[in-house]
Amino acid sequence: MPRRRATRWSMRLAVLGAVLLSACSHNHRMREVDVAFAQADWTKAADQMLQVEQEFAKDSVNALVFHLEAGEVLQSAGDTGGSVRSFDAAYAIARPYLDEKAEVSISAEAAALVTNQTVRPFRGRPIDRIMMNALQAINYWSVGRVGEAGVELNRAWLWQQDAVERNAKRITELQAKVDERARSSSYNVTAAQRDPVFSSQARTAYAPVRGMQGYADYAVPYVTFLRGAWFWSTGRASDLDQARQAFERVAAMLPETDRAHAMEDLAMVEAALAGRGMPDMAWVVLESGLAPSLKELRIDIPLFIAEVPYVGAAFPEPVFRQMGPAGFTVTAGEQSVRSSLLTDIDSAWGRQFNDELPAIITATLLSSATKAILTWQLQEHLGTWGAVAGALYQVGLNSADLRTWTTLPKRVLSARVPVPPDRRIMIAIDGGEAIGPIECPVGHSTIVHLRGTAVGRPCAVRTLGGIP
Amino acid sequence: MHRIAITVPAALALLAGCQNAQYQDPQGTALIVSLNKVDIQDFTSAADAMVNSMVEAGVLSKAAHQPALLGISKVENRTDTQFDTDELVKKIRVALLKGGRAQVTQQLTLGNAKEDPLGDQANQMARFQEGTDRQPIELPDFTLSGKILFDRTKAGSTRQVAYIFQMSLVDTATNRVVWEDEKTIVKQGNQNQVGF
Amino acid sequence: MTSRVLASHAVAALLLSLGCNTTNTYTSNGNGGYTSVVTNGWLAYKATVDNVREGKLDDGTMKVQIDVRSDQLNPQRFNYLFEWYDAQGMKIDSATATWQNRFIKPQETITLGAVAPTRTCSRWVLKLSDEKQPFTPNN
Repeated sequence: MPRRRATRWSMRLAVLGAVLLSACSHNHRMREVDVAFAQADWTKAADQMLQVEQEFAKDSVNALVFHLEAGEVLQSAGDTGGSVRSFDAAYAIARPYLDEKAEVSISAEAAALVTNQTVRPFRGRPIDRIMMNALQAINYWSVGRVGEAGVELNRAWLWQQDAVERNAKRITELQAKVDERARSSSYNVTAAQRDPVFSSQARTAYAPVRGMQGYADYAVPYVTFLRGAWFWSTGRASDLDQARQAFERVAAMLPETDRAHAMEDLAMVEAALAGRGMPDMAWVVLESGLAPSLKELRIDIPLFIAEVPYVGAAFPEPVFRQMGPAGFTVTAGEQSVRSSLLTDIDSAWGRQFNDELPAIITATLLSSATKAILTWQLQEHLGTWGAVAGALYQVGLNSADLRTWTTLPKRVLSARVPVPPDRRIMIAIDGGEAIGPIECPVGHSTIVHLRGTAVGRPCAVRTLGGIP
Repeated sequence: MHRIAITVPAALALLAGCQNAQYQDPQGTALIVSLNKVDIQDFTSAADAMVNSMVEAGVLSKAAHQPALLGISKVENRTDTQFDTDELVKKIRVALLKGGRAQVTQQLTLGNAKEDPLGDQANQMARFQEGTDRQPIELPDFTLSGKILFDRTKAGSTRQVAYIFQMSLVDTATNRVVWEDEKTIVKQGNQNQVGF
Repeated sequence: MTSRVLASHAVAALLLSLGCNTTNTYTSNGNGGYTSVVTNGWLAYKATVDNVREGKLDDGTMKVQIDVRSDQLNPQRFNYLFEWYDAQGMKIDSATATWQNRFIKPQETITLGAVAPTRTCSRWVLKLSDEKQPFTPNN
């Protein structure tokens, strides 16, 4: 290659590398929001979040994750209108994947091969899509727009069905695409995965997430419960069976130790179906703590080149985060009820991450090795300029995909109590905070929705009620 | 060679820029058919079926008032699409009113929400001035209620959605359902498994 | 005529039939019968009016039922629209009038029905237009 042309290419690669170096990751952009949100400083988190969301609103690759984060943060800050707008924007991006657009894009996968996984559009995991519409339902329900809340719960239910029917296939298709690329590549992915250095590091890094079982069929018991409570709220005989089915599913999903409230819900609906009346019920749900985030983990992968035997590749490593309040007690008149676990979001998230992991590992191995080999070839053929350009290319593009909805709760706790004659309930959060008295609105279903990220810090409170 | 290199992209850019918006006949056959929502032609089609069925049943023409006095009750959206149920109800009301078959009362409304609050105030004032405000209000002959349901299903790459429109008329004198009908609109489309 | 010329004529005829989606119109004559203006032969082959029944509801509103037959050997789709006119020939608009899509099986006869939007309507017009999309299990 003539020297001038080689120099021009080196310069182009250097510029590309520099541009990519300057691009900021999801974690970096969310740092300030995360700090404020983790300390339950809702207003500060919302202020920061609005700026970040606006910055990425037109970014077709990343907009979804920031809209989701904004929906959650603004909801906690009490900005229902803002949260509705953010979740609407998120739904507009995600909705076509339900029945219009393909989940796997050839061009995005090809681009990811020579760059990294972050160039693939963020489409959200099944749990993100389900929770997006469930939290939107909470927005509508809290302002008395119960009919619209029902529509959102229908959407969440569709995502859940979609996850069952399609997710396994989606992962298989993604894996097939990645495998196809692996076969056509000169890099031996299978041998790399068997390499003792790589396999031992990967095994250690992913050990905590491997054991997570989640719930059957990607279901989220919390969302199924909301659906049951919504059908209960209509007070219609034709909806009682739907409520029964929902509560029955919740009871079936929960372990014995956490099942008592769901069993009582089920018994209540069965009694109503038998004509023994419909009591007004108050449920308290606490979305506690923070969902897993991802951090970058460097693992050495073999290149099978004598001069460069190993190179560091960036993989996403789950970080399981702070607990938030451990529970609460709800009091109505003389009766006090202790909360129990309704949904372990960590576990549901972990199962979905686990399912995607083989495809993530293969794709990362392939793209990291391709880049490293290209860098080595640049150095071999172009000398110093090639080495500089190659280094910039590799450093700039060697990033793991760390995008995940980090402001989701870690877990959801719930308790139920019949609405007392004065329609007032009190809530004592573990760690000291007392909330109430909260007045239950007229109607069969009242849900007091709490969001707490840190023990001892105030929870965001909203009351859901009304008649559809 | 260079001329082609400049002309072709320029022509393509011009062509892209020439895709202007255009009007469509709302009753026409060139409207967009969506799988993810209830389209305007779906509402029109459902309203048409409901009005035809209601008129054909002949219950409105037997009402005490002529045209019949109608109260609008709850029409629930139980689908996965956010829309205003007036997209359906208003079409039915307009067709019945223009056909001289029914009028809608404002005296008795769900949750006492008045569509035209000023009209309601003016009526109250008029009744007060005429000294008829103590007389019982005129009750509707019928109340109209309904539900819009949905069902989504898939087979292979085929996606199907069904919107089910259900409507009922209750005779307020007897509290009996005197007319009911259901119209189902089914739409199908394909989803690519792998996109470019 | 050579086979090449025949083939080119056939292609031209096919393109013409695909390109011209004109409407076939059936108009009541006020005596229970109808007149037809058929400009689209292909459409008439898949949806042609066989029989018309007119009647009145108790309140005097006119109603009509029209039997439409397909001579095709494959399932087909077509669109239809009813328009209504009063005794003076004035068109009466309906808030719910819209083109409706119908599926028809091979050699099947189906019935299209409509009720007049007002009691003053005395004549109907049925318009049929072709649905270009052929029937497949997916549409």
